[in-house]
Amino acid sequence: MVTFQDLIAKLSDYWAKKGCAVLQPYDLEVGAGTFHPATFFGVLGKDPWNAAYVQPTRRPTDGRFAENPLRTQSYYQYQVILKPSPDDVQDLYLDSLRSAGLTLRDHDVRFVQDDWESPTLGASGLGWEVWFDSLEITQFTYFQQMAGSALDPISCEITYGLERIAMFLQGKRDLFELEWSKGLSYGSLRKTFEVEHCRYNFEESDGEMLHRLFETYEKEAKRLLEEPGPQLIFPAYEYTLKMSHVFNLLDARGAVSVNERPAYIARVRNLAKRCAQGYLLRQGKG
Amino acid sequence: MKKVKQKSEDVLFEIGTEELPATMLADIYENPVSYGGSEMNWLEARLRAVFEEKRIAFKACRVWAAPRRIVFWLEGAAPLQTPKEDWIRLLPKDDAYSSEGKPTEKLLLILERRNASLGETKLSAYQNKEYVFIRKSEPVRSASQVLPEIFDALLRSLSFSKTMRWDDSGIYFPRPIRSLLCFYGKKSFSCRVGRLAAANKTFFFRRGERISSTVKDILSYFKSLRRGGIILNPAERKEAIRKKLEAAAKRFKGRLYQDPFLLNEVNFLVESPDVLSAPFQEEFLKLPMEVLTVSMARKQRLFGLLDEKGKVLPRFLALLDGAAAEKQKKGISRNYEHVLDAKLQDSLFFYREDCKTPLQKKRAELKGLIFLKGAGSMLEKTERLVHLAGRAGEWLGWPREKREILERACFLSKSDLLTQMVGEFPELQGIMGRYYALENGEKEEAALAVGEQYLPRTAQDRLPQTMTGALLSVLDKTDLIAACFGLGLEPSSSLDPYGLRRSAVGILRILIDRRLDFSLFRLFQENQKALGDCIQKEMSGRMLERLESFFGDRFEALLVDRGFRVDLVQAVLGSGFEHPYRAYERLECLSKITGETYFFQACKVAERTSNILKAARGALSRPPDPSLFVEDLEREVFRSYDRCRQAVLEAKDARDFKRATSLYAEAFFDILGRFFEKVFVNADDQAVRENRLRLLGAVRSLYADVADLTKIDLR
Repeated sequence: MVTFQDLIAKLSDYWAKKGCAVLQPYDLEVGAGTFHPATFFGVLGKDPWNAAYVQPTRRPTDGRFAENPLRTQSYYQYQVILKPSPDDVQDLYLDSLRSAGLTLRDHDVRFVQDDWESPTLGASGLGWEVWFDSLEITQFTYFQQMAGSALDPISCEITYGLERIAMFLQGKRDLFELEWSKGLSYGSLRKTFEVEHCRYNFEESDGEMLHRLFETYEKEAKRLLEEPGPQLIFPAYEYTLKMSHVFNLLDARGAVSVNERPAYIARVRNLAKRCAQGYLLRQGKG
Repeated sequence: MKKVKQKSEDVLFEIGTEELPATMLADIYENPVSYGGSEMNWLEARLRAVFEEKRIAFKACRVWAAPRRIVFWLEGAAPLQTPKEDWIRLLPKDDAYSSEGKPTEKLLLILERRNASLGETKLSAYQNKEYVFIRKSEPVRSASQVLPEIFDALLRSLSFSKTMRWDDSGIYFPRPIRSLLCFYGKKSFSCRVGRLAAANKTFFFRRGERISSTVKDILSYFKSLRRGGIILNPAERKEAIRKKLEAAAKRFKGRLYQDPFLLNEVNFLVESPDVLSAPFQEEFLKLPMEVLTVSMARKQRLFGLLDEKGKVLPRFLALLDGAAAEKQKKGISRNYEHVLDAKLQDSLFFYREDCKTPLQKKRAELKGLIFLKGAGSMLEKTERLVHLAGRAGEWLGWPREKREILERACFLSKSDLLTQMVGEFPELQGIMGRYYALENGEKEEAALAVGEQYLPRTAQDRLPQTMTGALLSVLDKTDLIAACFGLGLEPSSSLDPYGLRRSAVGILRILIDRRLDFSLFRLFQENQKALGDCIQKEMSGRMLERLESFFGDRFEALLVDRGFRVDLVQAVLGSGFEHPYRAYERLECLSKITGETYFFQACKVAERTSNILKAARGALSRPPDPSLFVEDLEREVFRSYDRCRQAVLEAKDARDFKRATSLYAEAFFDILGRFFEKVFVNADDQAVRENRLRLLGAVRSLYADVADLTKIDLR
């Protein structure tokens, strides 16, 4: 039995052997591994960069009160970023699945078009969602743009859905039934956490407070990027990420009207863009 | 050098890629383009254009596509380029030859420099002046020299709608290119594109395995594909998929839920199709049928099955790439089943969440949803619809109760745009409105109307079945057209981003087939008023005029498409179509009598009166004055007019255009024949002349609102 923690270890081992730095998760609430500075800043600029890490993610609107076997408001991604993208990257990916313990020939593996976009990061790329017997287990993307500017070289981002892959390895139908480690279930660790957060996201969060936080974080991020000013890019980026998460909470609460949405997203994107520009400027100087 | 006689050879070029976007390929194969006067898919058109440009002739060509390859094949490509001759202008004749006709020094010098003789020149006119031209031939190169250039040019000329980069070679393509295979006759030839060099290898992909296969020649390429179970030809593959799906459906005593879009898409998701089938949990059958089929089709690319009563069966069909052994298939289909159950669980979640807030309450949020930039919100749109519904209902003489149902439907029509289900599956707009309205306890007829408001979606799509739905659909579309015309967003010759042409055809189809008899122009005037400030000032003036010509073109095409004679359509529309339904009635009626003698006679009357009135100026609208008649025949025509007028008017009122036509012909054909023989209309006396023209004008206008019969082709 490949436990959840085994899966993480196997993927880390595989990608470490392929030359990736195995990093740790980012300690903020983010919607995807893409928000981790290792990806957001890592794909900018010319220097080669290969990294792999687990990233816990938060997607408040995806919460289903732990009643859906495949969907939660918080889950674990395994993120690999390869710059430049190797020519055999698809094969590398398929091999990583084998090394995690999946027998590919017994399954229907497909790469189904998915043009990926993150409006809050001004990022976009082309690639696929990878299907494993019709379940999306990975997002596979050739990044074309980050923070609104075209990338050169092109990075490849591989984002595994760890729970879903573990379900195939363990033959489980419900992600809460997964074994995290021997004798310890994913559900016992996460179910209450999940249900409480769903209640909070959908029913209990304080919209007014969240609006206030959004404004406060934005002000702080702006202040940190101001010129002349402290020019602290990483702290500014963190406040930008906090804005993004607060926006997602507001969205789940139904506290953002349809026509306000694009404006909120644009506010986050503008700051993310400024962070990226500041980062590149500093790289150029260095 | 000994010249070897070369012969034509076949050409094969395979671009091996990572998985190409299925909808993009489907789009290319479903929407042929026109090239050199024939229809073909866009890839073939590009192929032909590049070969033409590079002057390599060939007998036939085919282009196939599958998820991981685009394959170009040419039969009998010429071994050498087609020679090409050009004439270059050298000198004006006066500079080139002396007056005695001898070549000048200047000409001889130029020829010497070009290493050419006088025999290669000719005299020819250019811009009304004689010049000396010299023949210049492009060098003729061999196909094997030119082919690498052709493939490079071809690949770079494929400007797909959405492309990407994957390395630093500067090549753009929808997904990374990973292999190239090039054959000319028996030999593979070298060719580079970006960082990639051609090799005599092709690849198969089976359940995550990449299998490489060495290719000896063109024939062995096709053989090995066939051995690998790959159907390269998209049309053939689609047929194979359809057959497999239908066979599987039969096994489960069902029929396939028809979804052409899905079939076109899965056709490019597999190259070696196999079908599997699995059940889903019956509890999900309580979801609306549209939710079930769309949940299956859109995200999961699964086909639904219907029983003989048209109800959804708890089972689905999926396409696998590559035949799987029974044991594997079992495991795979179990997994498919669980995944679909989870997805349907989600749809059920959306459905329940959406039902928590009634549409009526959601409506306020429509304020935040833009209808069209410059034309306000969706909330304002529903307010307009309610207002227009009241007016149109009155014109149609609908009872109050029916008008109220329609107004209620308008009121609720757009609220479902805010539901989670429509957010997830936009194509369910309207349909969810119907289900949720019923859940909210709205009247069934109002709910049905909401559900039918977007029909017909295409030129072939079905029309709304309920009268309220039909009228709501018309109002929804006229409002869109009025707003776009008011904002200067009329469609151009090639672009119609708001689908206004489709909407106009939809309106006309509904009006004539659902027999909605009211003035479309009056509705537009009312609509324009309701849009108020949204209409740009410079647009408001000629709006009706522009709408008339916009609708006229669509109406004519629609009616001709339905098999009516084009001249008759033009005749009827030429007499006005403010009331589209009435125009249709006239057309239908007249189309049945075109073979009758009286129809011919009526046309003759129209022709004669029109010819003479064409040149007439002045006040034709006044009735003729009997005291000014000079000839007996004038009095006779007038008596005839007087006698038949009432009857013709009554026949028109009764919409009996057959009778109106025959009365008209009977009254005027003979007498006008004699009249024109004997009476000189353009008399010298102005008063007499004008009175005669007024008499003929009266005759003409008696029928003018039925059809402009001068448009009828009498041959």
